[in-house]
Amino acid sequence: MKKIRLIVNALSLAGIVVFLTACSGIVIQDPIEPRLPKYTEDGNNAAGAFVDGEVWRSVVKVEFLGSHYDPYVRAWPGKDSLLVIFSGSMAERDYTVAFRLKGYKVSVLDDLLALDGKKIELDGVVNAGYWMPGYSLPMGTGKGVGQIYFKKVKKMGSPGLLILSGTFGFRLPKPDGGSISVSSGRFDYRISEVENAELYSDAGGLQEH
Amino acid sequence: MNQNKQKMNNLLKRILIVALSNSWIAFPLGKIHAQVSLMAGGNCSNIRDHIPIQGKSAILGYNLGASFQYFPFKGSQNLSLIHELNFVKKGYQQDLDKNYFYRFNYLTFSILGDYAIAKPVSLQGGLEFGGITTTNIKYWRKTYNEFDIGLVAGANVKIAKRLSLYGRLTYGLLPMLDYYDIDEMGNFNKEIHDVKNITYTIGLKFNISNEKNKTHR
Repeated sequence: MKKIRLIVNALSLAGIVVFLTACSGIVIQDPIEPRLPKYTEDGNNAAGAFVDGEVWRSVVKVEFLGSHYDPYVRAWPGKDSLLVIFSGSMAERDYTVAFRLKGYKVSVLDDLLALDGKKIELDGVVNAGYWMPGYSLPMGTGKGVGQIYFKKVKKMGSPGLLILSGTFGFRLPKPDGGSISVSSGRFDYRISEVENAELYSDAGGLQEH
Repeated sequence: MNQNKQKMNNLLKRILIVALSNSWIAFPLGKIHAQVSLMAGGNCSNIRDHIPIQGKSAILGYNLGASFQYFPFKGSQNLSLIHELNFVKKGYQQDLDKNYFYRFNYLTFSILGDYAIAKPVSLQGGLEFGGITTTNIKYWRKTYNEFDIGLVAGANVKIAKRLSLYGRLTYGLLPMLDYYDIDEMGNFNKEIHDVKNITYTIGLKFNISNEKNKTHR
């Protein structure tokens, strides 16, 4: 009986390790620019870009006590506002790349499928890109002008799970003058309705999943 | 792109199998004069690209293997065929913020023609079929093509009874990479099929069995 319990415990532990490894990001080195992850459409949970020539990277790290650098999608269909947030690090400090988009009334996760193949111009007014230290939300920071290209948005095998892949590049003003260039950006994330999406109802509250 | 890659890999696998199987057909055609040799050498390898790949430069590698040379044409003792099975380290490096090394270990099978232009010197040319066995790059199968075919040209100089020196150039014909040309804003300009091997090799070949010499004695 003891032996069986030991085997069950060992198998459970192995299962947890496999699960955590499977959810963590995979960095496939870009064959042309090895400092960045390769552009993929597999849900590798990784992203990267050059920020003023330095490398910003985001690789989702799942551990026993939580996870780091998860992507987030926040949507307020009533306000026609969609926020896509990628967090990562650069020179051992955390930074966030975010995009505020209008015209995509996302109330359930599958509504994001409308972004498939869409190249969205970031004009800095209606749609904008953001670059912020830490995990802060894009409020009061400079609005980036450029583009985000959702090259592939597709369903994964299980319901409530999407792959969001694409590229981005934008330039935003610095508060003290000058500008910041975010270039050669690419992302390939798995978006889970439960883990990575906050979809608010028209009334302002969170939608029930 | 992945489906095309899969089709290409299957086709190249078939070519490799056909080349390997056909190459040994010469054996049963009567009594054949043959030489078996072990070979080892160093190589300098790099890539050719159009993209371009910034800061690329050559790396040094080595090759180890065996060669089987036979003289199938009774009328011409100057002309022979060589089959070689080699383990070859190829690749290149990229010097950016640091050195990024790309090492590809190929198992290659070559079919070469050898023509003796003077007593110790012969010219060689033919094809090399290769497949990547290992590399230092994680998840390489998601990026690089497994198979390569190269044109081979070189020379062989006999420097002792059983020892000869060989030098050759292998010019990869197939692209190692199927990817996209993505600009700084994230536009996909075009699909690229690029990055081809180029390898310069120099080495020694040690003859371990010389049926030709025995029969001529």
